[in-house]
Amino acid sequence: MTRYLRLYAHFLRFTFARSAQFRLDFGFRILMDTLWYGHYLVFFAVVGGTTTSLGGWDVHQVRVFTGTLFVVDALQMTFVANGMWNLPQAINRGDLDYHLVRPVSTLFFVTAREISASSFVNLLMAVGVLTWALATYPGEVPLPTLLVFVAMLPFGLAIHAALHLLFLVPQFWTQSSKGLRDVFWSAVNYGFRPDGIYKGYLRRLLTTVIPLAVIASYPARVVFEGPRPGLVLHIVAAAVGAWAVAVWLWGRGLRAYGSASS
Amino acid sequence: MSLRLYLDAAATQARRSLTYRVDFWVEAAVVFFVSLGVAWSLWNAVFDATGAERIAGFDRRGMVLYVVTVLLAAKLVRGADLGDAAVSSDVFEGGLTRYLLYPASYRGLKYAEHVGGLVPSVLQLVLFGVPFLLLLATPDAPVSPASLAMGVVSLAVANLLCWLLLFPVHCVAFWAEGVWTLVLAVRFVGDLLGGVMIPLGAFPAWTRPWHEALPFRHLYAEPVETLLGRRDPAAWAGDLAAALGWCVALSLLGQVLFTVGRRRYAGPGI
Repeated sequence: MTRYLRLYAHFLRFTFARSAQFRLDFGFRILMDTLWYGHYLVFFAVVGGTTTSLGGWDVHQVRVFTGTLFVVDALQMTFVANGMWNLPQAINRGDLDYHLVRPVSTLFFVTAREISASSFVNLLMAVGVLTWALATYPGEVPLPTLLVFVAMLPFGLAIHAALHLLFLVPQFWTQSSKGLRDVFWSAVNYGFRPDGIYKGYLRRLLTTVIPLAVIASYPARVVFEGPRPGLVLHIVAAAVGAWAVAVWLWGRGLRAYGSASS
Repeated sequence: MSLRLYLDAAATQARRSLTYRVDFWVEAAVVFFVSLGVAWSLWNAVFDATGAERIAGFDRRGMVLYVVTVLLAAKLVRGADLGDAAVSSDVFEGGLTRYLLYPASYRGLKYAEHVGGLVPSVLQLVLFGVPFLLLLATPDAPVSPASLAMGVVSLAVANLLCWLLLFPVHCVAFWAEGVWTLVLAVRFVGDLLGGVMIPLGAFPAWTRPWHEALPFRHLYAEPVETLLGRRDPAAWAGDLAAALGWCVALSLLGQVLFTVGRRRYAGPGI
């Protein structure tokens, strides 16, 4: 464990050193993420202008949901997105060979190595939006509820990362995973809307089998409904389940890996 | 000679874009229905919550039809705006060198390739758009042969406008890495202000001058509303002229940036 922490500290140092070299790129990425936040804030404001309730939530609750979504997204953009984006290429071009011979978990190395310093700046911005949303929320949020809510955010990140990985791993068997990647980036939008808008089988699917609707909506529900054990357990179980399947599939994928052009 | 070269470039890219059949079908069917599911759930929830008959100028069927058409049209308008065939990739990875040796305009060849790469999007538009148009016939969308013809012209101009809008952005690669972030930033703004995420009718009235001053409405909302028969020929002609005006302005900007950038170009790994 200490070895992994030390390794992660090195990743962090390299990240900030690299960011200092590509300053314009650093600024571009901050701009991109800022516009992403901006376009979602406007989107929910415009949709909110047409209705007083979205999936059973009022404007204040939708704001808290939006802030939660931003923080979870900023966490994944900072800590896992770069590694995930590079993964298909590493599999296809055989770059994974170099990671397989290292004395650490290959999955840890390829997903955790690339940290984004610019997205870390955006994480601060996302925390700002969430703090504003919580400060203007008219309901009472006791401190224990707030602590459980904060503790649930990494689980939202874990679900997002595991599902992303699940859509990339088929690259081990196929020549191209572009189609599946596009499916993921379309499907992840289910998690970027309040879960209350989904009904029937679709809702069951999005909260259990493919728990995209759990990513930000369920942590936000902790704020509105209090830290109910069922709700908290659901978030934790979804994260653990998604990772268990992702790690299992990753293992199968590694067995099928045949270096370049696999 | 030159025209044939451009046609060859388009045909080659068309074949290339259809190489991975599984990707094509996954993109065609799964991505489309997944995206439709998100939009359908959202607007269904809004209609249920408000009890309104019409929102943003559409009834429920009209809204579904708008969403279907805008999702398919957006793919056709954007084409492959990122990836290894992008202008910024040519600049950054040195692929531009070989184009500079060809007896044809770089921008012409790249646009020909871009158009060739649209074949999957055209097939998807026909495959899914036509059945939905027939299934969801509504007075909100009085589709006619004339509206379809005008819509096709609008889509062609929108595609050119989108490509010209992104060309100067790609040219930033002469000076900096990470241009894909700028392309995505433009996409976010375009999706929001162009009517992909929400029909423009849902925006408050005070935002209208902003929409009219910016080029994004010409990309998605106008071609889609034209296809659906919601624009009269006079308004369509005016919008088309405005879109072509933007094309000229952006083309000039792109030419200037490309000329200046080329002077800095030193092959791969700048």
